[in-house]
Amino acid sequence: MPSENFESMVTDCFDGVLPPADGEALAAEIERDEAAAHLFAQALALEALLIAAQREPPNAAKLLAAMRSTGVLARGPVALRASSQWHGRFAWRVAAAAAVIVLVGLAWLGLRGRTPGPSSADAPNQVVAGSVLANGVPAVRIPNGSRVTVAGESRAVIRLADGSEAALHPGAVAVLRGPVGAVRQVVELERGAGTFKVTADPKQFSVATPLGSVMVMGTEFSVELRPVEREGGDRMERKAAVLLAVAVLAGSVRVEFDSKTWTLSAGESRVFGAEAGTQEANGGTHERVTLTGMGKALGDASGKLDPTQANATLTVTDDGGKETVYDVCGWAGVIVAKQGDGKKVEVTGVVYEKDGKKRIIGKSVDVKIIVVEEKPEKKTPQK
Amino acid sequence: MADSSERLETLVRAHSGEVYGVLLAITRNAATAEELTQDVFLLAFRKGLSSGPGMRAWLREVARRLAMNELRRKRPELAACADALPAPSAGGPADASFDEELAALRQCLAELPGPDRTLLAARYERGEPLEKVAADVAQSVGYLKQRLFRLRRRLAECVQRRMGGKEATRA
Repeated sequence: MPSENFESMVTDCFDGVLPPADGEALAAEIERDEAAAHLFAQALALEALLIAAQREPPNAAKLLAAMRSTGVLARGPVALRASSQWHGRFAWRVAAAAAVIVLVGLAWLGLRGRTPGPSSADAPNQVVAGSVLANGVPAVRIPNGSRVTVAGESRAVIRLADGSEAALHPGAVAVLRGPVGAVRQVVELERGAGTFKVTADPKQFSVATPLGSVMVMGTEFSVELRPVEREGGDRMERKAAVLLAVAVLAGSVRVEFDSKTWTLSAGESRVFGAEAGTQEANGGTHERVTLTGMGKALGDASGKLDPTQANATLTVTDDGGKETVYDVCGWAGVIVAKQGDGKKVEVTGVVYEKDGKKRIIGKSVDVKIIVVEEKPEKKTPQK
Repeated sequence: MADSSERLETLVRAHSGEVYGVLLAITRNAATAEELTQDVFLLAFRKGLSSGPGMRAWLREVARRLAMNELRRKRPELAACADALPAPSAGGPADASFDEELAALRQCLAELPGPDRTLLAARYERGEPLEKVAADVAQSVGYLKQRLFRLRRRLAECVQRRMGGKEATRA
């Protein structure tokens, strides 16, 4: 049954004199009490009629034009539910456009961001594809400060206030901060993956993660956050690995991590992280790990590794000499020295797939990578 | 896609007045109500819905939820989600027409005494805050609240009578 002051709260609500605390109480009573909900619905229906009787109705043509201008209608309801093109595989294969790939293993022991409240009158971000919840409510316009969760199975594309686009993958969670200081757009990626097309602008665009930030001027890049867990042990021991790997395929980015700044140019890569976990069939450290890609060396003449070799495999050799081969989804590292016929590569991070899950080998594990290059044919000088 | 666009247009032309009214009743902000009106219909569009039994109630409920969330600004877990709201079921009874109810209400309004019509005009047509209306008529806010409460009840009963067998202002 509705409370004694329920009807009073309802009329105060419509008359605009309901205190905020009572607004919460009213909403809660409507949600839990069916009779209250029915009463409210009746009162609301009459209120809508009174407004319609006394005021100019919204212009239907203008409403439709506004909705068409979002571009959503052109795609149709089926198109909005189109499946993601990500294919579920973490591939470092990237188009020719400038790209930065950030890989983060997220520790679930408290690396959550703040949950800000939305601005009351500012909703400059527009959903142009897919479905999102902005602070838990389906939305097509998103105020700055909103925590956005991608709903459903397809990517959600959001056009940000500066014209940039953020394509968030299914399950992604991000906070759209909007302009912060001199930075024109800040997106806090808390979980999942996103692809960002950033319009060229003198001011920077930033994607912030729990481990660090990626700052760009104008480029297209992908950011992915994936939890990585250790097997074995009890629940507390199965901490997620914390790892941030950045590989720049074109353009340049500045990475801020642990109060330091790194500038990475095209072809460079680096892994940042306090700790990295490994998931191996035999556990522990490894004597030798060999990275091969389609039978070819993964490095080029400059000594840098080519991160676009998406079909690389990871061969892990344990102390007993047993080799296990995994599919490599991506990696980062640099060649540090020549070793024998090949080069010793300090691989600072490798992502591979085992039993359908993505796992990371990080720098804290004693990993030695040997890249075998084809020997050039010796030419006999002609006299 | 043209077909779905036409369905949306039909929905908007048939229901935007009421949806806007629901949103304005709760948010009390015309710009917000207009924006949320678009959101309501875009949500219906995404679900591939079209005019039919139960559609009016569905739209009102979605509008209510969006507006309530705007009103209270609660966190995600506590707000009802329109996606979770089941689509209107086919084969139900026909909805009473909003236009018919509106016509009935206008007749009821015309039967009210002058001062009551003036009060309602100040409240709904001009959207004046209750404090201002109270000051203009040299009455207390509490008195005006009581008056509006009685007026609303009277009008609801009048509309119900005029609508006859149909369930006017059905939830």
